[in-house]
Amino acid sequence: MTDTATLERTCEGTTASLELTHALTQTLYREARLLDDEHYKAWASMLAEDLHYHMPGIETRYRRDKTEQVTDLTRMAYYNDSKPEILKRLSRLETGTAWSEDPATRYTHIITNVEVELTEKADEFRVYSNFYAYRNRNERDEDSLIGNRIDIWRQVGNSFQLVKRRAILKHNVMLSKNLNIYV
Amino acid sequence: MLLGEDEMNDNIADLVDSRTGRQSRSIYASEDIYRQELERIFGRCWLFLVHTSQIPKPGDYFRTFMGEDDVIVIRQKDGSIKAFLNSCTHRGNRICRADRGNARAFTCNYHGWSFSPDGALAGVPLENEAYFGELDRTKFGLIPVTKVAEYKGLVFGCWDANSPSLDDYLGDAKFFLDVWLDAMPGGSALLGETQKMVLGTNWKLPVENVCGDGYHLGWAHAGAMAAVQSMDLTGLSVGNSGVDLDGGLSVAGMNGHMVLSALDGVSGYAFYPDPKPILEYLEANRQTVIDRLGEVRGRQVWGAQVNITIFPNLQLLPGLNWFRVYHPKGPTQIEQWTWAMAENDMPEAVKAQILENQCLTFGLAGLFDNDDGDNLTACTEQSRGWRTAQMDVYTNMALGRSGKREGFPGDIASGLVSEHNQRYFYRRWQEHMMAETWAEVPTYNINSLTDEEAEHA
Ligand code: FES
Ligand SMILES: [Fe+2]
Repeated sequence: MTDTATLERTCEGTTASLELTHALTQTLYREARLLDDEHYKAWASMLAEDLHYHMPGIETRYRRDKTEQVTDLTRMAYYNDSKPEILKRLSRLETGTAWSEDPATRYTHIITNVEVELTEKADEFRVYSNFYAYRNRNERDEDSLIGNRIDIWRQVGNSFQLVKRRAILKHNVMLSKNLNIYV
Repeated sequence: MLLGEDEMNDNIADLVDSRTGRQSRSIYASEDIYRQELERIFGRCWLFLVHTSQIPKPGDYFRTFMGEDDVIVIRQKDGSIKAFLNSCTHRGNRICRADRGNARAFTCNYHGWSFSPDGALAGVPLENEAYFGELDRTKFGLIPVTKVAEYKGLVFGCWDANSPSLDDYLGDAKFFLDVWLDAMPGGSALLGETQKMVLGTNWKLPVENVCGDGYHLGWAHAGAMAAVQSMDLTGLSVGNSGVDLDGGLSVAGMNGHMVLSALDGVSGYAFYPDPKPILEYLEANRQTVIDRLGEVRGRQVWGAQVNITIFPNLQLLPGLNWFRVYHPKGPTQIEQWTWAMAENDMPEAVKAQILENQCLTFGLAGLFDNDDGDNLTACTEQSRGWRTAQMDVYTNMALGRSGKREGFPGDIASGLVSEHNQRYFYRRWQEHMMAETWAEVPTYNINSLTDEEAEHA
């Protein structure tokens, strides 16, 4: 994955044009709408073949403890998925026997704080955003997942594909009974 | 049977009947029963604290729970391990706020008392000026966990001075624990940070689920199995369409510890989409393990789907490689803590694959955990009604169909689909709940292998 732009900003990032920022912001909103509506096939088509989707787990540590918790891929993660792995997760829903997904979970994704930066690669853009993903299921099951995202999106023709995403949740103890959600 | 809450405490004998496999549903929701569990089960049994790989260096510490008591486990200068209540002896504050780390001392945020890693009260601000030098610091060290002992990397603590030794407590479960802990010369480790999740279930339900419930796998996890399964798991079928009782064993009658084991030596990796690198590791080291553990364990159990339950709240699945502790948080809630398991001799690429597979199957976002969490919380919620609390539930599948099996310890029922192990779990629960002291808790290792048999097993 060294031939794609890095998630970490190497120097002070260059802000993308208004037009590009608008186009990518609309892309994020569209993605959120597809996830809300469980249009997973359409969502999967927004994912690049070389996708890396990462959601690290966070332990509570003292400030003096400099252990890198977020970017180290050899540590525990909730998601550390390639596109085939994401597709495998989605295939469970299609079996018709994922009983715990029926009745369906009701989702709302709220995406804010979008910033778009140019990268060392002309066709790839670093996109920062925050998410609020709300879930409600059955009668009273509800929870909120809130965090930051750093993405790399690649321009392909007139649209964009997600190449990398790091979604950083704020939980130590997850206050819900599972993570059946993409953010 | 209608019992008031007070009566229930006197009537533990009526709440469970292991001959018929009956449990009263009140044991999943009653506050009084829960209080008694904290005392007679979590206050008495050996509880898993930490794996030695998680605190390798002097000063390394790891925070966990014993029942609802917050505990710090600390590696000492001499390499030994001690554990203390994470509570300041001055006004009771929590002295350590991190999940883990390394410390030369633990200093309380409230008034600044400072404790050394051996628990001694090492410093008191204004000791002479405000206490007039009259504070006897030796009386205010951290409260130590009464007993701490290790079995091949697994560190346990126990509050009860009269408990059997850890070795005796584990009993014949060690036969199975060794399939992970002692299969390869390099020993074992836990990988990664702690995945913690709150689940609205009584703590006994997830234990029951993993200790013996092969029945739910083919049905509850049909979707997940279809998504990730790469090999057949003998003894189970997706959709519960058939069952092969020769495919595995349900082993119980070992001091309340239970094991489910397939016997094919590979099926632990059936839920890895790409098991090839791990199968190669098994292949390359099979003979070593046979030499160390004998034919039965080396050929049939090592690498197979194995669920080990150490009473009351520890479960580990060598093969699927997840290791889990349930911390009770009241009668209807737990915190579920999960790590990935590895053998130190595994190549790095295999360890990485294990961590990754945990994301996909039994991590917080794991496809299997998605199914289980939903069912366990609903079983708990449905036990809280006025009427449902008066009901019984049954684990009465394959009653009376167990016995000895050549080469294995324990009282054994055929197959992974049985409720044999659950009955022994509730029997052990009842034995503890009825006993005033450890002396009243029976010890049994049914069909124990003699040393000689174990050698040639
Ligand atoms: S409570 Fe810890 S120093 Fe006072
Ligand atoms: Fe399960």
